[in-house]
Amino acid sequence: MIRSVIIDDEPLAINVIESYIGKINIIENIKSFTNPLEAFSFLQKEKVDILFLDINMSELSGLDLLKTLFYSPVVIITTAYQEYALESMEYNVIDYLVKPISFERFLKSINKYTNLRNPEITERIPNTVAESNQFITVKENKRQVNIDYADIYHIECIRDYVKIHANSKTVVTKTTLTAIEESLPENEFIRIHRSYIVAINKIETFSQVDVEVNGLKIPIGATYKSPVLKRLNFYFN
Amino acid sequence: MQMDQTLFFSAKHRLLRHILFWVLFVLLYTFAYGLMNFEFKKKFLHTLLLLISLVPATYFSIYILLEKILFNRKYLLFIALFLISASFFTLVYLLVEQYIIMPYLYGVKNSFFEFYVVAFIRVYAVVVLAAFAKIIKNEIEIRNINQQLTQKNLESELKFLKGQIHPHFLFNTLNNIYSLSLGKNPEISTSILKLSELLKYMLYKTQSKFVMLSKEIELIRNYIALERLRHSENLSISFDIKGSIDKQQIAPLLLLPFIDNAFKHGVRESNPNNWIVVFMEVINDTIKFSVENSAQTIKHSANFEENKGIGLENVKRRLDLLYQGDYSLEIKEGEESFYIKLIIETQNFKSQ
Repeated sequence: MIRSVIIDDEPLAINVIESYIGKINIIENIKSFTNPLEAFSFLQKEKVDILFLDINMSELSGLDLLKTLFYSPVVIITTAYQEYALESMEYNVIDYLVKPISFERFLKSINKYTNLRNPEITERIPNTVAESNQFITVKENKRQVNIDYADIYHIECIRDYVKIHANSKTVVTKTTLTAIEESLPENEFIRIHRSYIVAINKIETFSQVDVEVNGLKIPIGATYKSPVLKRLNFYFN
Repeated sequence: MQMDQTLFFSAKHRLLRHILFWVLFVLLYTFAYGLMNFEFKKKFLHTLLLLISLVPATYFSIYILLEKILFNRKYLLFIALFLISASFFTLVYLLVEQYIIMPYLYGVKNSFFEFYVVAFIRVYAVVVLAAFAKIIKNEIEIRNINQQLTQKNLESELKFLKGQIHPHFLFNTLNNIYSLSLGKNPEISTSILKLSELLKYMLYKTQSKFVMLSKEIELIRNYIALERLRHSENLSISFDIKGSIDKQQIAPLLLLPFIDNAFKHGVRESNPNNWIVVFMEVINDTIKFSVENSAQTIKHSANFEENKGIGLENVKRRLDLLYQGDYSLEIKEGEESFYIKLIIETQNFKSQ
């Protein structure tokens, strides 16, 4: 278990890091401090693996206090300043995070640590972020169903429901077409009609009024016509 | 291509240019006059001897009269010195003609003394030509300097504005708001992150002359995502990309003004059918970027017309400065839509 301590004079900033750490199994935050002096007297007695340190705290430069420690924990600097990135290399600083920090960026920096300490690490950090999710998850009849993007031909909307036509199956779920549209990658799917979304790579032919997918002719809505035709021309010419 | 041109006109190649000029002159004159009675060899020597008065006249006129006096706006001095030097060099020409060319080349003594004015024209026709070239070169230099000054002006204005922003306060505050939204509203959280990325980009990335194209694209996506929040269902906006975007570089914030323009002028809440399409196609070192938005059916006052121009004017200036001959910008304003297409060659800047 990786042990960490957070030092930052802004409590809300501490909350962010604590909440991120809460999502990662292999790291545990021992304590958080807004007062750097308290933090360092704590660190004299307790050894930790990672120190999350804000270097622009009002009273002291966090880096100076590092010198007083009898051991050097790995330091990950968090700050609102972009410009300090180069200075801190001597203090065992392995990463520099500029606030606000996204969870993905945070995860990257934990990975840097595990790669450093244990290159053959067997326990992988759970990927809670959908960085390269290739599927959509919907609820059908109270069951979760995953459908790969690559399998989807087209999606149509029938009153309160949305019907997803895919390779191996057809899934019906209660949601709006707009909600589905928002969760799909925008460069792989195109909404051509109030009631229809089509997978771009499944389009066989198209005309001024409709699009052919899997042998089916799907109409292009009047209000969608201009932008949709322009996009189709871009992709297919 | 643009690089080759400036090389030719640089100081290093000046000797070459001048030699070229005189060689051409001699050949041209010899040929032109020789045609009259086919005495090419005599005409060649004649022309060479002409150079005795012609060359000093030219260089005196260009490097002293023009450069040191006229360009320094000493007009009276210029006129005075011009009259004196013109008389002098014409006289030299006539003497050479009378005492060297005529007797030795044509074996004529006491030949007719050309009219002074005609002699003057003979000599100064060439001088004027050279002076013309000099003036053009000067104009181009002035224009370049002006452009650079304008750019420097804009840069220092920008630096000043940035100095007012206090990034430390700004990003800490954004982080605090982000913290408050965590776990409660994912849409707020992502929007704050996107806004922060956008601001970081504008504060820091704009300091470099060029950025990775992929970073600029990320910026555009963030910007579009944030704009989406401002508009409801009646706006459809897409950003489609073709080609590989990993290697190219581009000047930062070059493309954003076009999209910004589309939002400002292409979207009206009263219109149920707003749309904006953004396309980028990358083929090796050529970047083709186009933005088209649905046109306004309601034309506003004069203000509307003006505002449309200003942002685009700035971009055009930047394009001229950074990409000179390597870009093309097409703007089409139609009944149905407003369309811009920008094509840039990034090749010359690969090494940056």
